[in-house]
Amino acid sequence: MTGRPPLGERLLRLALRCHPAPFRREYGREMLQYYRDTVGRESARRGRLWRARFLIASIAAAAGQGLCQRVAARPAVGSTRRAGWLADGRTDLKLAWRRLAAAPRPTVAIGMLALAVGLGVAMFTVVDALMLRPAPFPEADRLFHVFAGDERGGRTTIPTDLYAAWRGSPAFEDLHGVGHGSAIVEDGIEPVMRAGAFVSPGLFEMLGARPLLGRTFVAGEGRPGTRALVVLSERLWRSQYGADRSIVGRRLRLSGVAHEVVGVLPDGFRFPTMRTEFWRPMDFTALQPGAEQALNRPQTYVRLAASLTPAAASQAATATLRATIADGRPQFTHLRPIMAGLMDEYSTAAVTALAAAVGLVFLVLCANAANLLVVRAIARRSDYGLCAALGATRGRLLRQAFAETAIVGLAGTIAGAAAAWALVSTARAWLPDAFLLRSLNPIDLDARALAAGAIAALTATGLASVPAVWLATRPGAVSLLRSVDRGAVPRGGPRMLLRALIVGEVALAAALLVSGALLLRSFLSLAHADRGLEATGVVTASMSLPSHRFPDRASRLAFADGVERVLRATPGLRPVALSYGLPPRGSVRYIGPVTPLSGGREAEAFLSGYFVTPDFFRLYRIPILEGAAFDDRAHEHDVVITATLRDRLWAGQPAIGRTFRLHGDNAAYRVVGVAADLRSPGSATEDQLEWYRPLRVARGGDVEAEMFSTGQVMVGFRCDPACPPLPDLRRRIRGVDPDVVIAHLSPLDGEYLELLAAPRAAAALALVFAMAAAVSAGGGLFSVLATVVGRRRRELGIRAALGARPRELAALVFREAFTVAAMGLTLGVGLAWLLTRFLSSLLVGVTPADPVTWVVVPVVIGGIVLAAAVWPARMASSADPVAILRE
Amino acid sequence: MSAPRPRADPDDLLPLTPLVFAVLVALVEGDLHGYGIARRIADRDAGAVTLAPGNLYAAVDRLIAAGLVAPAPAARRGGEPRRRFYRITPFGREVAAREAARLRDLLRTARRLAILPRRQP
Repeated sequence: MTGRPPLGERLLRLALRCHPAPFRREYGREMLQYYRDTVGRESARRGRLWRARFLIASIAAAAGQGLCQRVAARPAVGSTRRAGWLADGRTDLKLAWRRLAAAPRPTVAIGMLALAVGLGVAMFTVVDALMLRPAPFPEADRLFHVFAGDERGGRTTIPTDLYAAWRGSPAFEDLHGVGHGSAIVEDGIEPVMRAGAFVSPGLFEMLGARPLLGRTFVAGEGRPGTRALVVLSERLWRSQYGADRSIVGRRLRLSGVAHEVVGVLPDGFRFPTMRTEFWRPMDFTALQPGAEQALNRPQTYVRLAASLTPAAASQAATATLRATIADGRPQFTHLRPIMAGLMDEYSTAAVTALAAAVGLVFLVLCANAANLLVVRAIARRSDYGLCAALGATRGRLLRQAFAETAIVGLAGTIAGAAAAWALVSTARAWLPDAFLLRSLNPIDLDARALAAGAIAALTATGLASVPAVWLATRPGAVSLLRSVDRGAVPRGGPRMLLRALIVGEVALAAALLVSGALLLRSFLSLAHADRGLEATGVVTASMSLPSHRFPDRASRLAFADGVERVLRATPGLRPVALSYGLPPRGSVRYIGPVTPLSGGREAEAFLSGYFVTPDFFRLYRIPILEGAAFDDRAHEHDVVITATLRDRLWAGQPAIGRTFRLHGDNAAYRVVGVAADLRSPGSATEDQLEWYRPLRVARGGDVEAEMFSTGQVMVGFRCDPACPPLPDLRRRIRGVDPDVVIAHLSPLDGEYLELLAAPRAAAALALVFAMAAAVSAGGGLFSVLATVVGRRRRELGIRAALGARPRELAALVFREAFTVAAMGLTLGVGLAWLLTRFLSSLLVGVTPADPVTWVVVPVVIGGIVLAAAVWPARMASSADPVAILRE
Repeated sequence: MSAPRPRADPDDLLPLTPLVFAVLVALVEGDLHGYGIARRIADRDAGAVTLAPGNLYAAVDRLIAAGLVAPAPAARRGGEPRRRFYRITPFGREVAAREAARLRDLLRTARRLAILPRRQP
C-alpha cells in the first residue's frame, strides 16, 4: 500500500541488528535479498502460514546467531568451543532460573510487568496512529488537500474548470480529484449501504497504493462511455464476498448499475476517509452535463512539485486560480496537509489525557513489581550474605541478582506483548465508532510499537529491579546475615524503600481515581443533560432507495408515503413524522453569515437544517415558543428557527414575519415560528443552531415534496406505551418495498448516547486505568504487610506472651497500613489537584472541585487499604506465643 | 568478514555440521548465491526445511573464515539485482571429500550391524 518494504522485511531488518556490525555490512543486503527471493518464490506455493513461520524462523535465527557471534568466539566449523566467561554467564542464568523456579514464584511481579508493558504498547499504538505518525503515504509531507476561497478559507471542493486548469499548473507534480459517492452494494451477502469514492485514475499511484488483488485504474478509465469499473476494499471483499479470490473480473451491482471489479486494495489503504470501502474511476475533466453535484466539485489532492515550498506552490496555484475564475472577489489557494488522525478538540485532549494516565498506571505497576521484588530480595538477603561470606565478589552477586530480575523482565515482556496484542484487538473491536479509530493509519502492532514495547519493557524491568538488586547485594547485606535469620523486621533502608513505594502507588492511584471519577461524573451529567426534546420513547429510521428502483422524485415520494401509512397503521405508534434530517445530527449544514432583511443585525452561525412534516415538533416534543409549526400548505421559504438564532439576529424581538438570507442563496426565508433550541452538550454538534423547512410544500395548489431529490428517506415515531420489536418494524418497512436498504432503525436515546461515545469511552478507560492502579496499590500494600507480619512473628509472639491481646496485635498492622495510606492519600490529593487543571477542558457540568468525587475517592482508597490489611492483621492477631518461642 | 585462517589439517575440522556439509556439497557443482545454495539443498533433500537467512549466512561466514569457501568474482546477470556468489576452494573440496568418506565408513558400519539393509547386488 505504500512505498515502504512489507512489514515482514522491516521486522527482519530490525532483527538483523542482532548481528555484529561487520557481519551485517558483509551479509546484510544479501540476507535481505535471500529472504525476498525465498518469500517471493515460495509463498505462492506454500501459503500464508508458511510465510509467517519462515519470518519467525528468520527472526529467531538472526537473533540467535547474532547473539552467538557477539558473545562467543566464532565456533569453528565442526567444534563447539565457547569462551570461558560465557559459561559463567550461563551459570548465572541457570542459578537464577533455579531460584525463580523455587517457591514463592514471582508470578505476580511478572503479571504486573506484563500489564505495564501491554498497556504501554497498546496506548502507544493508538496515540501513534492518531497523533504521531504522518498519513501512511510515501513522502506524505508533500501531499496536500488543495482548495480555493477567500483569505479565511473556503469550500473544500473546487469547480471542474479550476481542476482542469490546476492540472496544468507547474505548482503541482500531480493532482487528483475525489468525489464522495456512497452506493448500495447489492449482490453480496445482503444489500448494504457503503461509503465509496469516485477517484481520478492515478490517485492510487500518487498515494503509493498497491492492490492486494488485480490492479487499480489506468488513464482513460472513468470517461463517459467507458466501462463501469470498481476497486473494492479488503474489508468489503471479506465481509460481502467471503474473500473470494476470483472476484476480479466479476460484475457486481452498485445502486443498480453493473460494475466490473478490477482489483482489491488492502485494509491498510484508507482514503479519502477511513470508512471508504470502494472506489470508482472518474475523469473529472470529462464530466457529462447533469453529473451529480459531488462530481462537479471534486475534493482535490496534490503532490507539490519537488522544487517548490508549500508557500511558493500556493502562490503559483493562486495565479492560475485568478486567471481561471474571475468573479470580482479576492481568491486565494489553501493547502492543507493530509492528516492521518481526523480528530476533534475533545478527542485530542482525551487521548492525550488517557496517554498520560497510562503513563501513571505504568509507574504504579512498575512500583508494584519493584515492591514484590524487594520483598523477595529481603527474603533472599541471607542467601546473598552466605554467598558473600563464601567469597563471592560483589560483581558476581550483582550479576546474579540482575540475572534473576532479567528473567522476570523477559517473562513480563513476553506476556506483555501478548497483553498488548489482546488490548489492541479489544480496542479495535470495542471502539469502532469512537475516537480510537479515526485515523487513516490502521491501528496495528508494528515495528514502531515493538520498539516502544522494548523501551517500555527495559524501563519497567529497570525500574522494578534496581531497588531489589541494590538491596540484595549492598555491602551491609553480609552483616545482616544473622539478624535476618532471626526474622527481624527489615529496618532502615529497606523499610523506608517499601514504604516509599507504597506511598507512591497509593498517591498515583488516588490521583487517577479522582480523574476517572470526574470524567465519569462529567459523562453522567452529559447523558442526563436537557436536550431540548424528549428522546425517550422515540425511534428513528433512515432508508436508502436504490436509484434503479426509484429513479425519480415521484417514486421516492410514493415510497415515503407508503412508509408513513404503514407506520401510522401500526398500533401504538403515534405520532409519525417524515423528515429529511433526524435529531441529533440534522442534515444540510451551513456555516456562514445569516443576514436579516428586516431590521436586526448580521450574525455568523453554524446551521443544521431539517426538512420536516407538520407532526415533527409534536413527535419530538420540541416546544414552539412563538408563532406555529408548519401546516400542509406551507410555502417553500417558510422556516422555523431556534430561539438562539432569533436572539442573535433580532436581539429577542418577536421574529414572526421577518425574513433573512444566507450567503450564496438568493431566497428570502420568512420566519413562521420559533422553536426551543436542541442541545447535545459534549458532542461535535454542540454549537449548531437548528432551522426547519417544510418537507412538503404547496406550489401552485399542489403539494410537492421538496426534498426527495436524494434517495434518502427518514422517519421518526413515538411508541406509546411501548415499542413493537424492532425486527417487526423492519419487516413492515420492507413490506412497502423489498429493495429498500434500512440504514438504521434505532431508539433516539441510543443515538444521543452514540454522540457521547468519546466522553463515554474516555470515562470508561480512565476508570479502568484508575481501578487497575488502585487494585495494584492494594496488592502491593498487602504483600508488604504480609511480609512484615511474617517477619515479625517472633516479636508478635513475645508481645502475646507478655499479655498483648489479639485485637492489639491486629491494631499494629492496621496502624501501619493506614499510616502509609494516609501519607499516600495526602500526596495523591495534591497530585490530583494538579492533574485536574489539565482535565478541565474535558469536563462538562462538573467542576474539578466536585465534592462527591473528593469524598468518594478517599473512601474507596480506605476500603482498598482495609481489604489489603485484613488478612495480615488476622495473621498477626493469631500469633501463638508457645509455637513461636519453641522455634 | 574476516581473513581466511592458515590451512589446517582437513581432519581437524571433522565431523562437519550437516548444514556446513550440505553447503559445501551444493557448491561443488558450481558457484552459487545464497538463495541458489538454499534451492540446491532443498532440491537434493526433499524433506529439508527452508533455511533461515541468519543460519545460512552464519554458516557461509564460518566456511569463509575456515578457508573452505571463497567469494566468487561478482557477475551481474541481466536485470537481476547484484548478488554475491560463493565458490568452494580446493581445500573445501578436500574437506568435503573427507567428510563424505567419513560418512561412507559410518554407513558401512551401519550396514554391517544391519541397522540399514545391505545393498542388493
